[in-house]
Amino acid sequence: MDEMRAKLLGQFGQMSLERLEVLNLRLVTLEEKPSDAEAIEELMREIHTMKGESRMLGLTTLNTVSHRVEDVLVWCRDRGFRVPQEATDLCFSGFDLMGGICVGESLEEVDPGLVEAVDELLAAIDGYLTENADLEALEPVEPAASAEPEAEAESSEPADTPAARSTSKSDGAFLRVGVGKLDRLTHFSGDLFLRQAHQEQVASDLERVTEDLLSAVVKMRPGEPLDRRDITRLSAYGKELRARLAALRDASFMSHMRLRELQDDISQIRLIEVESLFSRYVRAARDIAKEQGKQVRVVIDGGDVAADNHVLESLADPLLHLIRNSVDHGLETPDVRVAAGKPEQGTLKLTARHVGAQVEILIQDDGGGIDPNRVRAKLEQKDLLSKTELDGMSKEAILQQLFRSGFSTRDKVSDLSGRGVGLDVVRKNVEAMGGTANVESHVGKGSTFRLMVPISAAVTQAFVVRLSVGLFGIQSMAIDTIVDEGDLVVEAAAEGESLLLGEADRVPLYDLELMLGFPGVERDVALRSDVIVVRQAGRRLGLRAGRLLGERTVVQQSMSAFVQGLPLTSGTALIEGGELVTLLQMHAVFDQALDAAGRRRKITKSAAQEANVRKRVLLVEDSDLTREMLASTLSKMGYEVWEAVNGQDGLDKLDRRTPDIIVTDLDMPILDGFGLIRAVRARPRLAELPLIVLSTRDSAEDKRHAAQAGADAYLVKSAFNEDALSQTFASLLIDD
Amino acid sequence: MSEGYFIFELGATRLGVPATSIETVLEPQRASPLPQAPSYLLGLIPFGQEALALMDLRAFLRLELDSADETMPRILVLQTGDLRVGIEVDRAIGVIDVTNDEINPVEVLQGGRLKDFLHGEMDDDGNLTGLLDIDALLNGARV
Repeated sequence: MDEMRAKLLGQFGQMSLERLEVLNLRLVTLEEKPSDAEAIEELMREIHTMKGESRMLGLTTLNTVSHRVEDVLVWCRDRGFRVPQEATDLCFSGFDLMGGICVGESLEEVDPGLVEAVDELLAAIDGYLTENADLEALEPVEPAASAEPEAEAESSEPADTPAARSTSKSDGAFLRVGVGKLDRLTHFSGDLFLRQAHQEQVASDLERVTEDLLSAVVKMRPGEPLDRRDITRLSAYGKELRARLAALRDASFMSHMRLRELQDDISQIRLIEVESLFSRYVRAARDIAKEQGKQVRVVIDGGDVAADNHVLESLADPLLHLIRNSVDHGLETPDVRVAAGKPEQGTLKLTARHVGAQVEILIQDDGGGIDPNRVRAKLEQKDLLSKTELDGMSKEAILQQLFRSGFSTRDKVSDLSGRGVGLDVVRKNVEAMGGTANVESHVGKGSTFRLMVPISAAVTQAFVVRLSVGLFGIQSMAIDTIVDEGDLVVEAAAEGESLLLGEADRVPLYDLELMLGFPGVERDVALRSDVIVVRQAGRRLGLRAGRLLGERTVVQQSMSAFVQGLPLTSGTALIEGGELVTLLQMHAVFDQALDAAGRRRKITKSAAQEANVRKRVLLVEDSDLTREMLASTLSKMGYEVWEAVNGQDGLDKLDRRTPDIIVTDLDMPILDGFGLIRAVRARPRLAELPLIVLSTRDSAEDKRHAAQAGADAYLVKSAFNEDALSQTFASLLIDD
Repeated sequence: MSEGYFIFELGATRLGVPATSIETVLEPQRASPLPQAPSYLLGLIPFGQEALALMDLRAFLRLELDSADETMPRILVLQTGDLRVGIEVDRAIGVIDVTNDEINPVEVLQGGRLKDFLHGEMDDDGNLTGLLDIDALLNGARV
């Protein structure tokens, strides 16, 4: 096959699939309103074009199918436009076969299985047309009962007319040739942004040099080796530098403005209307409902809302699942609906609207709704959440658990929703592009799934933090709030730290660096850092996040194929100065936190609560904050804590009473940890007392010295976690 | 028939990769570590507008920490199919032409997991050199 023909066939295949979407949509409209003349005319136009193009390209099978489907439609038109169900079904079968051929390996050599199906269809069409050849006019067909006449009007608003649709499609057509170039342009704009940032950096340097120079001049006094002429010259030099600096700033400002324009243009070009996505599901919803003896009417609202092509394509599978879910699990059969005082026909409404830089997509059904008590029972039964945790959750929060991995309220997997992606994958797909997914439901009234996604995935807002190992980004959409270090109210408990946001509003608190598995910054430094509170599926986490660099608009790159299997990262971006930012996959961060919390719960229970004995700990630590945190943690773990502010204070306390175990820092005033350990071991009464060092020092030499002095265990503060502390306590106190 | 091989050293071990798989050679630089990555994966480094994964080949192949006489560390950027990765080497030597009859079955080079990723070994002017199977290596190391 020559290159030109291959290219033509490729374009034809793509365009035919788009045509088939329109054909399916129009046929569903006809099924509901069998006398819709505009719908049948558009159907005929589209099928006629496919017939002509397939003949021109010599695609015999496609040409024959489109020709015969057109015959069915002509037959209907000639008899008064009213399309009977049997004819509609024949046309749907024709569209399915044409779609099958278009997505097949070759348009020219059709799969034998499809050829066989085509022959069967052609025979059925021949049979139908022959059988009904003498029919002069079709009997009027009763349109399907409409649930809400007003909503009906909504679905046939002006934007839905053939003329408007045709314009819309031709508007979107250029994307077929433009996306590759647009991707490069997007990357190019990212590059230009970096250059601009560099220009800004140079300007800052110039500014600094200028100021240095001017301040040097100011310091000059008579009697110094420089005379007045030198001073004048130097001043002039400084002024010149300043003038250049101003020019550089002007240039920087201008290039920034240009870049903004360029980026806006690119973003606009990438946008396509949501209608192109929604229209695919009208037929799918109809087929699913029909299989289950249900009736559904799909209403589209906000089809003209535009979003990035990539974002919409990424939503295709999640939306299909949610629509299946709504029809399969949500909508009731006609008899159940009538018994509940509802119209026989259910309504599935797909809505899109812009909310700031995001698109909100709603999938609403007027079905039976989701019972939070059933969800709760399932969560408990599957041991996904404890009774205590569930008691503390609102009904709304319980419903969000539908997005948990492995959750299903149906005891039997249905043929429809049980297939393919689950709600957890819906959530993950949406969050992978920086979006969120949640659900609201009212028993007896129906459910609404709400997806929020960025209008454009290529350019996104991320909050950048500097950890000791590098820069990491959190999608701004996932951020609930940021708490300054000065406003932090932290509560320590056996199950971990919590951040208090209000009187009864507690958020579990984690150190981001430790959670990601990095050694961590010095604990004292981490304690002073701000906290980012992130939200996902109705749950929140507080993350101590090192140094916050602030929010950035970044061009997101996919993760390198070599490391795409890593769960906690979603992509990368470059920021000013060419620094690399690794973007975090927030749902995986949540999973990680939940795993850690589960493990911690089990360990703390076994170590302290089950032992049911209140052991006494002498805690020797000079940092007030660290001591307070550790004391609180230990007491929540079930220990009685005595505090000492340095080694000497510890020894004084030891002279008065004997604890069950000592935990000591090393670097302390008056008497350090090494001195304390040696003094303890020198006292026969304390010689065998378990002693743990908890220090910021992490060298092998320090650990060896501590062991030589008489420490039984050594924990590094930067890698501190309660699991490790619990286990160490358990191992040292086990025989007591 | 001959093929160009880019020769480099990891400690005392001399290895080669098909020259066509080398995209470029970079100066050494510090990588940003990735969470939950295996220990041989050092992290990411900026590479044009993208991020390049950097791999500690010595750790992946579990070679011993012997040192070469003279080191001049470099990062070789390798590509095969859709996989691109940087590997840290102690010394980049250059390209040599290798004919098929010069390549022998792997018998002498046995350190660590080396044998799993070599498709042959050869004598390059008295220096025993292992020739890496780049597809097996990158697909074996990807995560």
